[in-house]
Amino acid sequence: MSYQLHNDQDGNLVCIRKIGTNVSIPLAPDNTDYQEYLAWLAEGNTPAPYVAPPPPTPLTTEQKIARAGFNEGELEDFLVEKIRRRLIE
Amino acid sequence: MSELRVQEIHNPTVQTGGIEIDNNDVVSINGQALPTAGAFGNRNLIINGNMLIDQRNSGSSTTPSGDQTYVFDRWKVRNSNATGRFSVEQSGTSPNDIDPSMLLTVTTTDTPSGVEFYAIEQPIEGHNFARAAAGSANSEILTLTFFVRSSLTGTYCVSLRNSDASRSFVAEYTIDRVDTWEPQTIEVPAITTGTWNTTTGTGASVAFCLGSGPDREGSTGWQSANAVATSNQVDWINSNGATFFISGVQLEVGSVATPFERLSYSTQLALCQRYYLSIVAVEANSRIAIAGNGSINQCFPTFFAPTTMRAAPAIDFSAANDFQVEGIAGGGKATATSITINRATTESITVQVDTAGGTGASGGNLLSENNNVWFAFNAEL
Repeated sequence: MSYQLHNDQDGNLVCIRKIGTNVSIPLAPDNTDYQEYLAWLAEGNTPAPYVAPPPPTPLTTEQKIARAGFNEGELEDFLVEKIRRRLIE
Repeated sequence: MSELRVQEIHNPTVQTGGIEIDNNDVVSINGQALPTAGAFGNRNLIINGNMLIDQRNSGSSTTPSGDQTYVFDRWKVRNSNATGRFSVEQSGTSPNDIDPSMLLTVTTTDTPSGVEFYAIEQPIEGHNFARAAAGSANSEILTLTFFVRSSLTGTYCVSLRNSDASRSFVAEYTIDRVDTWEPQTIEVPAITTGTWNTTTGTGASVAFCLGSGPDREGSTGWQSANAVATSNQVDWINSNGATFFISGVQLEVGSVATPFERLSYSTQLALCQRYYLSIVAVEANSRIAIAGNGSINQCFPTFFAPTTMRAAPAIDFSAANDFQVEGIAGGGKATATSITINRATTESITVQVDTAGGTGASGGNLLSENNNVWFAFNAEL
């Protein structure tokens, strides 16, 4: 068995991953998986370092519009109406 | 002050049943003894003693290969050889036509050597075992009852050990008849020495031995040693195809065996969920957790445990790509590539879900991509 460190988005160590499984272990002294990890460390073993996930692919304008809940036609109508009102004012 | 001295109270026309008081002051009503110590209810220190709850395998057969692998809820196998030697499954073969049983079958024989041993074991949390007052001058007598059935007759052993195994109690019991349920009752004397956890660690472990190496054998009774059997233990694990059924396990304070305490299903499940919680999505697109925050390819859904867990749990799941993040706005979905603990307490668990694509919006639901995917939270002893 071997382990890998896992950090949160702020760079803090938050859990230990059991390599080769889907198990992640909290840094909780009462947790028996964490106790096993500490025993493994005490045997002189070293966990693999944290590897950050790849940065997200930037969203396209179309994806940003879709995430906001619009389709392109609705957005176009909205902008046209807003411009028309500005011109009237 | 008046005193009524009787040993039996019966209906005058029906001479059976009624109330009996034996010479040890044990009171029985209609043949069922009342406790001599402790409360009348919530007596069983064993959880899931009738082998009803099996969140991990849903009763299906499994052949555990590692030592201390949990099979049914609260029950783990001791398999210090760390090789799959026997299967475990829930069986409808019942000692009482009510409770299921645990069936173990030898699939590959072994002769345990040294400290190797095979057993089915339950560690009891210190908070629960505290009522035994073990290690103190007020230590209580305990009574262990169970039903067993085996294809192999002979002398078997059961043990009770503290968490560092510096104290162990070993008792022998006999299975006389092949493939026949037999009730067993064992009295465990008080123990005034040793260190016994009374909080969230292991208070004591009960192990039903199925084969032991010589270095885990001791004598009957209490001893300052790590023993799980005597040299009389049947070498069950060395008999290919041998079966062993067990159910109705009860460990209680007092010298009298009271009837098995059968709990409601929901109560028993809740007791088990303090140690292990499984969430199974039986349909695709089941929303199993909600996240109110996150970034383009990351979100943090939170699960709330239905009962306070013994410790902050470890998580496990079927596969990351069994799950999707569903964005709050726009309805975009992205398949998970990684799921890890972000924050875990005994009441709630927040996980970090990473996705590769950018279609998952900030925040959102964690949903199952397929049916029969699962999430598990493990705070076992």
